[in-house]
Amino acid sequence: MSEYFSNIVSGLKSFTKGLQLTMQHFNNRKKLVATLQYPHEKWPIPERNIGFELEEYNVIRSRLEVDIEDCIGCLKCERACPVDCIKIETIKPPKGGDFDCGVTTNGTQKKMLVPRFSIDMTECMFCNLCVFPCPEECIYMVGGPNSSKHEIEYEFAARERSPLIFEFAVATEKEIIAAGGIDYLNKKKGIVPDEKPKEVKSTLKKTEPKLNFEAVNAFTDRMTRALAKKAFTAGARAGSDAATVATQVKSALVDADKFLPEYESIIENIASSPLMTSAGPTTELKAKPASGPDIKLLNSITDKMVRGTAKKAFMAAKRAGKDGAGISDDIKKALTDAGKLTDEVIAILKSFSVPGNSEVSNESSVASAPDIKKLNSIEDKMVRGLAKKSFMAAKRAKSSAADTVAHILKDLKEADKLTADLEDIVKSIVPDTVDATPAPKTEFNLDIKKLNSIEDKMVRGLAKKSFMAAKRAKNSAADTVTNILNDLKEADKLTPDLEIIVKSIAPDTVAATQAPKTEFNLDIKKLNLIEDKMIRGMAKKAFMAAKRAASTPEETVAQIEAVLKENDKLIDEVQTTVKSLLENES
Amino acid sequence: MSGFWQATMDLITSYGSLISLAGLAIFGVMAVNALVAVYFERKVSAFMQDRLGPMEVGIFGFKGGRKFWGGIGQTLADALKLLTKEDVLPDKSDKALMILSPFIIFVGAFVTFVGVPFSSYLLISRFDIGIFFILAMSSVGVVGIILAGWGSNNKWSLYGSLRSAAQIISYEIPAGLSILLVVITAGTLSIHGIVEWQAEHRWFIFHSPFAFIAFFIYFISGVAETNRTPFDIPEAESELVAGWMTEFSGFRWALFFLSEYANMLIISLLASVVFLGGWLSPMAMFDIFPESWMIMDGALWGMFWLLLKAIILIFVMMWFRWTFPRLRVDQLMYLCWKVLLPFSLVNLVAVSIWELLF
Amino acid sequence: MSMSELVFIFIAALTISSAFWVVFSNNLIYSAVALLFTLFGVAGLYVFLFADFIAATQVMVYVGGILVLIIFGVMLTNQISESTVTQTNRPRLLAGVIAFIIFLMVAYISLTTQWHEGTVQTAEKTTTVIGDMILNEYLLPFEAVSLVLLAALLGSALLSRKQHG
Repeated sequence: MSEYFSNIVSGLKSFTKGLQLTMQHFNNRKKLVATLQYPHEKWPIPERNIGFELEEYNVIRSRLEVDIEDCIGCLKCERACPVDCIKIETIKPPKGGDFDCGVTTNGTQKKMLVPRFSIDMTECMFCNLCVFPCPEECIYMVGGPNSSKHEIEYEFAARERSPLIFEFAVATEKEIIAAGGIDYLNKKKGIVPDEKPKEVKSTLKKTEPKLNFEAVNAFTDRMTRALAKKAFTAGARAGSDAATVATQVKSALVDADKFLPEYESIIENIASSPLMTSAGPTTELKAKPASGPDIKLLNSITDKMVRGTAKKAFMAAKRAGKDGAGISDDIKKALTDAGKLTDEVIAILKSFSVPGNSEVSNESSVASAPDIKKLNSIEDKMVRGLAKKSFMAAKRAKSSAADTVAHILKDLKEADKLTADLEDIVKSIVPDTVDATPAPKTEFNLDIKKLNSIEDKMVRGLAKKSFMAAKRAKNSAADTVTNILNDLKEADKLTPDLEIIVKSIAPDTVAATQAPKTEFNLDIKKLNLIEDKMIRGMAKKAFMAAKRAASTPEETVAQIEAVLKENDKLIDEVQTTVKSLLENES
Repeated sequence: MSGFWQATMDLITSYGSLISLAGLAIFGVMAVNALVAVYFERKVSAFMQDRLGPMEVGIFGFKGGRKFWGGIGQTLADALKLLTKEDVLPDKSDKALMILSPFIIFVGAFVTFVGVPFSSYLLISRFDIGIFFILAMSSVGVVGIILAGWGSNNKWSLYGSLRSAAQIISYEIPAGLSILLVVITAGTLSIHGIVEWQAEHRWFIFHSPFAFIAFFIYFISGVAETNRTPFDIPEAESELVAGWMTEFSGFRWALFFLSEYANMLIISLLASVVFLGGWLSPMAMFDIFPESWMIMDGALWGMFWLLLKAIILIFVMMWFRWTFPRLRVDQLMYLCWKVLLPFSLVNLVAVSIWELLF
Repeated sequence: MSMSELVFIFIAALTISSAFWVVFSNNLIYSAVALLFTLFGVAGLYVFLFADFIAATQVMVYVGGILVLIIFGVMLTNQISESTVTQTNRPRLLAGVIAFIIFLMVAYISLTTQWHEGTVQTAEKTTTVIGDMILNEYLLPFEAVSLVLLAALLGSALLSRKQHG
């Protein structure tokens, strides 16, 4: 009986104890919840330390990456892919055109424009097979050995499929059109090609094959006919006249031991037929635009719609056989009807009315042709790509050399990549303009790179701007510093930290203002004592951030602590570990 | 015969709308209850296990930053999924019973609601024997459970249904005896009578130490009757897959679910009516509050108090579920026949004596 | 024909038809299911007699208790899944004759009895009346019934005990 009651009592005790336990967890849910809402929240990726160098770590295959500037469109990787996840489309610019596809970093002249280079990472099985065939080594697996080319990505999860299809091609519509890819574009947009190209095609087809095969078809034997046709088309393509083609056909048949006496008449037939090669119509077509204004001038119109309307009117006027002035009038009329006539367009159209204007401007730009190869001395790949891109754009727009330089500089500045060194290089592409500038520059030896330690992007931009302004005005170092400081003050962004950074750009002034900065020699390895992986990761991250910002040891510790506190992870043990950084320092 | 049709028409025109309205109201309560309760169940279980539970579906998504209300649309999505699922009837099963049994269980819970009050004015029918009716009707579901297990032609289902039936029948006895305490004290079977008695005296749970124990006996028996953990041996996942629900799918399975959560609500409502003062506000029990606070005893406030008490009890049920491990079959029967039943019998006698003395 | 009559007809029809199903079904389980409807129908008829307490008791005891026990018993029977196990007896003719005689008796009694007629009479509180009757007028039968139940309880406990020797 007593056992019965003691059972009940102990049952009740464990009953309440269990309820208390779960209630504690229920009440502390905000602190205890261990779930990470993965796509929305992510743990910081810990610094990789697996015992040996990252470069040796060959196993990582995180994703495929393409340096599209180096791609020559050889399609080798597409063919190598076992799952067909790489899709490349190329456009070959017409021969004799002035379109330059550019040069790879290996110095290979590109012959194709690549308007599409997409890799479907949902299909990719990371076999690495596409990497080996690439002659320019522009496709690579992001991993250990390539960590310098591209940061390793450990996850690229997405909610839909589309973000996982990586598109690497950067060719703009303008470039594609310039490379003669208008058909490609139309096809992509689902537009039926214009009438004109159709006509050209049809005439070509009509004239050429008809004459060809009527004569050749007389061969009764199938094999013989095929051989004859082959020889015929080869000859026709080479632009030979009818008699030569006939002899070629004959010799081909003789070689293949198929020639019979009765074929003699057929060969004669071929020889006498008025052979018309493709050269005829094409030369005719090419001749025409040379006399009148060039439709490509219209490409500089930015608005797509306006461009389309203008081009249409251009073609209509051209077909009607009008001269430059007449065409420009027609376009103007069409645009005013559509209510799209802007000053920009009028300026462009003006060049139409002066015959040969475009050619003149072309020549002038060619005369002072800036040299793209000079840009190769830019070290950073990305920046080089950018610079080259804007160079090409400027070239296509037929800007003058000085304009080109300004253009490149502007683009670089926008991308926040402009450094003093870079500016020198860019300016060097135009020999005559550069001559004047470099001389006084030697004096100006402030280092803009020091400004990079400013963390806030906006402030950094501001500082750099006024730095460049001062530089251009050829101020002394001290003036520059004050200039920057003034500008920052005006923008209400000046903090003591900032001041120190700004002052650091001028070595001589700094010596006085700033206490000799101890080298940043805290040991990150001490943080390894932190047991919790997460906390360790956070601490290390904060440590690295502080290091980059060149903080003092005390600041570093304070920053780490602040970060941990924010995340509610600052436990006593951790705090002592973090503090230990400082102790051993002293 | 024309009189027959006339009467049919009269029935449909005069009472049809009323009856269907009441039916719709009950069904609405059951459906909303299941939707909300399932959501809370998942959230409560998640928080007790240091998880977050459903977070993605609903208007308060993760992006809203309101962590608790994340995924509030999850049960709605689940319900829609259930309704669009294929209705599977196993080949060798007794198809008639498979189709019939979910409806018997559902009707058992549905009809019980006729007597269950939501406030002093908000109830379908005011019986003289209200509590007895509720107890009687809630015992109908057992038949459905047994038939479901039998019709599935599956040994797990059969085991589950037999366990369930044995359990429900056993635990009805201590539950009934505990309520009997209240009935002999208040001298009525009517729900209104019991609440009026509590309004005059005090909440029944504070009537005497025995009534206090009786409340817990009733509540534990109620948890057992709804087949919830720690008394969930009928559907013990680790042994019986899902017990008598194993072979069911789609809408008929949804009916089981609806009934289970409806039974939870019934048990909680009944416990709060009988032991916790029903729709009386806590202020009415103590006279220390100013008169102006008594406004909280109105009709709508009554509903608020009753539902609040019921929701707290439902939360306690969930709390039990995510705290305790499942009892063994013999432990279950031991608890019922050797602990709860003797105690409730002793209670019965003791409360009677208490009533005579005081 | 009033509405209550209509409902009465429906319930009576349900009771009788399901009772027939109980008797004539070849499947014991189906018989048990039909019994569910019969018992519910009877409870409904009690409601018509304004005996709500009896109706609820009917549902509680017969549906919630006895019917479940019957189904238990059926399920625990060996070879229940074979359809050869039916409840129809061999001497059908004899059983039919006896049943018919009983039917005649019931019909005779119900036709000759002087039924209470008049306006519908609503009992204020059925439970009070029942309690009063049981503990005053019908105390002896009540105690006798409790004795019988006690005996049944003891008997079942004795039967389920382990046999020692």
